[in-house]
Amino acid sequence: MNKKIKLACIIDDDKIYVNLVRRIIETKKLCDHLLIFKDGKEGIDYFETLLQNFDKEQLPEVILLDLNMPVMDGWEFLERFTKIKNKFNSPITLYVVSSSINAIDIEKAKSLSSVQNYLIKPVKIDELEAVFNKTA
Amino acid sequence: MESNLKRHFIPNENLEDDNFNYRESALLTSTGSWYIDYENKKSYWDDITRNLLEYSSDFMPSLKTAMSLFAEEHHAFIANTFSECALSGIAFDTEVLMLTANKRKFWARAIGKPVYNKDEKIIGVRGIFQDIDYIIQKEINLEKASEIVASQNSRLFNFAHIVSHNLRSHSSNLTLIVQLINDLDTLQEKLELLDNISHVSESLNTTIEHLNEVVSIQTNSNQLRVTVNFEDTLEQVKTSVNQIIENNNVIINSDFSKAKCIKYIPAYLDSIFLNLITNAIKYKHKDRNPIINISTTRDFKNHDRVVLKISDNGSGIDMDKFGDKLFGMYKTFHYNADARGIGLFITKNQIESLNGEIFAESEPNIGTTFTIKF
Repeated sequence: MNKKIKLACIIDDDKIYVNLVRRIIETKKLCDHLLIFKDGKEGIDYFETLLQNFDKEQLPEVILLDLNMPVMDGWEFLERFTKIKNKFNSPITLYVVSSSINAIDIEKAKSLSSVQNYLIKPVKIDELEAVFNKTA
Repeated sequence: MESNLKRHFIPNENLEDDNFNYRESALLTSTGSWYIDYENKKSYWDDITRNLLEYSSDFMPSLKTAMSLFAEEHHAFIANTFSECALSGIAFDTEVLMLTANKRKFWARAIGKPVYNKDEKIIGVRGIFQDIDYIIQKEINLEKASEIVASQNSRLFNFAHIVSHNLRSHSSNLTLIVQLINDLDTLQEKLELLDNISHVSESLNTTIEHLNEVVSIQTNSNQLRVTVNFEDTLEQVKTSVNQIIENNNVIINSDFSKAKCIKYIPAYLDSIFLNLITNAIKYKHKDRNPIINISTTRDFKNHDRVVLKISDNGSGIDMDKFGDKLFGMYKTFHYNADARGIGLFITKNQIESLNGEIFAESEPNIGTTFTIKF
């Protein structure tokens, strides 16, 4: 029943964090390929372009999204992503991964239909495994 | 000697003299009496009222010019209060800003009540004015002090939030590294993570340096303010970033004729100019050379407060999207590699620590204007 995830996506400006999560994903072989965007703008540009020239192979099944980022933060990404998400006709599971422990942020994120769950940094290795296994 | 002593005790002997006592307490409490006679269209003041309002003892008050006794901003209120008393018999006890013959403003307590004739018809208003300026001034000072405390408190709270948030991101990376080290099998793999630890420690140090910068602003705000010249400060800053100005063909226009100097902490004014000017250059518009206009004015309505405006023709920012984050720490809105998101945060903190304010107006592709009220 476990079908391994082919493509996942991280949107986060913290290079060290991205590096470490990449290490975990590679070591645990949680997915085949990984897309990395350093802010919401890069991320949404990718998805909006993909919608124009659709290629199912390029569509990630999992997105790990940070909230606090320069240029375009996670909230604005979510706003724009929610508008186009259904046009892909393919399930995309999005997790917010943030160091914010602000209850308002957590509630707000969880209340959004496009958000599967809210993970507080530091994420644990088994949490990441669970995210990838549940989605697969 | 004996007669002097005797004189000294005279008031005691006259304790029962009502007039003397009323007059004494009126004088001691700066309370003047007045009467407006609506039937004969005349008004009467006692000499304490004349004194209070700085009119000569032979001055004859008139109903027609009565409004000139009050500060303009209270005219509507006073007209309303007196007519309610004269027409509907509503007594009043209120605080009002009055104007003396010498056009000096002072706060007074005004009490008035209707006077009736035998037929229960209102024929006049009788009352007092009491000088309570020193009390109101104390109240205003207290309010100001409490505002300062409230704003300091909110900045402290904000700072605590920033500290916890910024340290959290590093500590969570450290936790992640430790998890990985425990999880990895070979020593070689574990050693590879050392590089990450040195990155975390570098960024942790940078964060703490930035936080220290903010803390030092708070402690430095007690430094002595001296008279600083805007023109001189601008020249110094221009010299220090001369290379950047020349490389980017920047034109800086300035007009400090309306306010040449200000009492301020020199290092802060330097830093304000430096941050806002380098900011304007950093975020210049890609199609044109930067032009920066700098000017000072005085806000006459607000105790002659000095106002500094620095505007540019740069790329601007979308205020609807970023307005509330513009002065936040580590907020950058552009792709510039050297954007570190600390400059405007420091500038705002320096200005606020000296009880000033900073605002920004901006339009994408047009430019940005920063307004500082010192």
